[in-house]
Amino acid sequence: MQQHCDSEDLALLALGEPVDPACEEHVSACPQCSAELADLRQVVSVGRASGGPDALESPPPRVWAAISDQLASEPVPLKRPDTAPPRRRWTGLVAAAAAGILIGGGAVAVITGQNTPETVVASAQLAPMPDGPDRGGSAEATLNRTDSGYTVTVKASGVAGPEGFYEVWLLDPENSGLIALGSIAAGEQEATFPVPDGVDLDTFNAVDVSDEPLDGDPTHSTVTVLRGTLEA
Amino acid sequence: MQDVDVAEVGRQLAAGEESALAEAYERWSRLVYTVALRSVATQADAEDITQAVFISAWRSRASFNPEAGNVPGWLLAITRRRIADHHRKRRDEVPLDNAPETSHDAPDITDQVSVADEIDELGEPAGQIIRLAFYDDLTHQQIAERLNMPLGTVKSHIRRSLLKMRARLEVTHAAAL
Repeated sequence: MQQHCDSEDLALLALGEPVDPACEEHVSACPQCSAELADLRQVVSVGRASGGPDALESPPPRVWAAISDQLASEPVPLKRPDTAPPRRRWTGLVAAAAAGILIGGGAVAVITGQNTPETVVASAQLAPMPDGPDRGGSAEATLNRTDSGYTVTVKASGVAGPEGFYEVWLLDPENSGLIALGSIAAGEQEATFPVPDGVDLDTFNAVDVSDEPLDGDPTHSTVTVLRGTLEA
Repeated sequence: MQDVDVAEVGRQLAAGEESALAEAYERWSRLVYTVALRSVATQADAEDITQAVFISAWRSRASFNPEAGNVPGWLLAITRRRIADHHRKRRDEVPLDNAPETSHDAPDITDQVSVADEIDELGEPAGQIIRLAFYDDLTHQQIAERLNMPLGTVKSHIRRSLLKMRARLEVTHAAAL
């Protein structure tokens, strides 16, 4: 049997160019070379279909402006409420944007915050835990930014009633940290809770709803009925 | 466009460097936006998805493992999830009878855009050689003449570039899992 094709010849074959006839003949009989060729042909066909770099489109500058605007108001891991103001953190990024990160330059404007009264910055579909009770229905949580800080809204529909009462928590899944936000009365479809100032929403990034017995114990009952991770 | 290498952007991003997000945006926002544009109906939706992808990337940076993956592959995986969310939401808003039966799982779009991005990152003269071979259908002899280069140089650029594109596709597919 003839020796394997020259690897550069296989590349040319993949492009549809004629090569050394001995190689062309060898390929059809050699599983290794024909597999390699099929692979490279796939790359060529995807590459040709892609239209190349000219087919890539740049998002308009307002997209980056919106990203940096949103991140400029991200909460930071503040241990104490009286440390550096949150907006500090993104100044480097905003400056980088202003300095010309925005491809195409030109009309770069809106980096200053437009404060709407309430903006949904993240949301989560809440679902039963694999090993927890399933009360049916569906629920969603949103993290909202308001002029006076963050709030969490939980909207539920068709979820069966609690044995005790439903309590809403912010959860740090990695460290099992919990911050109680408040309770939802049985049958209530929607409730909004203020988030305490200074909570690090990068780590407390999940919403947990538990069924709490009326026993006066303020800790989590460990009976989670719904949970979801907040995502932008 | 190859000032900082891809792995370094990943390490900085995972470490929470704000400038790394700006760098990632500069390099890969076209990738994300083009995939989004080809997957949803309107430019406004594509812009929203692009915004959401980079916000998600920043918020979930701690879950990005720079040793195990690369940033563009990871961004594309987030992009696919956002696009799927978008279509799911759309479906929920439309009464079932009227919901269009479309497939939103379009790996060919991400493949194509990834390869286009890889060609963009090849550098010169490799990028030019590939453009001439792919889109102008020149043979390697014609390319060698046009660029006044030895045949062997052109051939080896073609081979190496195809291998880079193949590797990029493999990473894109791995990130989709």
